[in-house]
Amino acid sequence: MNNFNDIQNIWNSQSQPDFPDINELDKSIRSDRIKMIAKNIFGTLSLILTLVVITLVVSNFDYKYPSTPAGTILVMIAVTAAIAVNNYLLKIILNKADETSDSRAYLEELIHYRNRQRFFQTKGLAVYFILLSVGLMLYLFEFLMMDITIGITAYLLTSSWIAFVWFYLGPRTIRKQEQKINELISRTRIIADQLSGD
Amino acid sequence: MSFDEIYIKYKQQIFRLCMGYTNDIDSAKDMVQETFIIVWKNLDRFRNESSHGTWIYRIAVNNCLRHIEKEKKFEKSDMPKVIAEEIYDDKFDDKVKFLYKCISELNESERIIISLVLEAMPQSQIASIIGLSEVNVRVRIHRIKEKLANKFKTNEQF
Repeated sequence: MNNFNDIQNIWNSQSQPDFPDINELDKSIRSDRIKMIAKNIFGTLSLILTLVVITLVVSNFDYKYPSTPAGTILVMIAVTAAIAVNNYLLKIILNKADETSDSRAYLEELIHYRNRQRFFQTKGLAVYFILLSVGLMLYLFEFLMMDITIGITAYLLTSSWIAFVWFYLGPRTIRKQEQKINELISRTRIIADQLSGD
Repeated sequence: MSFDEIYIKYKQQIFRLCMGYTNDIDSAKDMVQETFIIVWKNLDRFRNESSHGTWIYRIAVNNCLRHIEKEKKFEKSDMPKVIAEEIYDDKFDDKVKFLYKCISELNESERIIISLVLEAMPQSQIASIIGLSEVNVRVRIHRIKEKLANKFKTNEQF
């Protein structure tokens, strides 16, 4: 191992590339922050807007069957929960790994984080689809009773769309997300095992 | 220590660590920037840290380790040789390029450890950054040094 000193000398001899000065770094930190704030504002606004629109629709509609407000409430819960979970809850529930931990602890935390994320993305999405589908079906019931032809057409169209989402689009989206997260987990696991081994 | 001072003091060292991990100048520069953004976000915790160096290196190392999340599917090893060689900047001479190439052939944890060793970091500090015992770190360093020296010998660089 006498030669390691030579390797050390090579390491020490390297010239340095040009780095952005502190002002440029400041700029990118600022733009990073602005993006985050914009994303939060956008999330909050879309949440408020959805609630306002749905409330207006329900309050201005003279319904005869309790299934109509029940359906609306279910859709409202699904949409609100989806926006809330995506924008706020995930950050709290998932509690991303602490970047200042030592690497072994960090990688284990990262794997836990990805597992929790996988759970929410797959199971959460399934619950969202169920709430939305049942809600829509309940909401449309009143139209079915008003005019049987329009009602059946609306029912058929909606149920085919739901079936398409449920049997094709949903599983496909879930599979893709799962694959991506599984790949990340297994690659992170390989590195974590390197650190845990002997 | 202010953020400016931290940046000036550590940017070169963090760059060399990231370079050891990715063997790609552009990725390494991006990773330096990401590291300092994380440092900036955690500045309030920095003040309470007893060892600033360890704290900053932990962030840098962890950022390297989650680099897989940002990697494009197009791996560098899949590139035609000519293109892969063009990635190197003129700033590095052949010996430095060869050293980085050898380091890039090690596994992820070995790349991190050897880069820290080459930065002349004490073994106790490396142990604290990685989360291993000092004895374990010592054994690993010995093995990695051997591996690296063998690569140099095989290529008749000594």
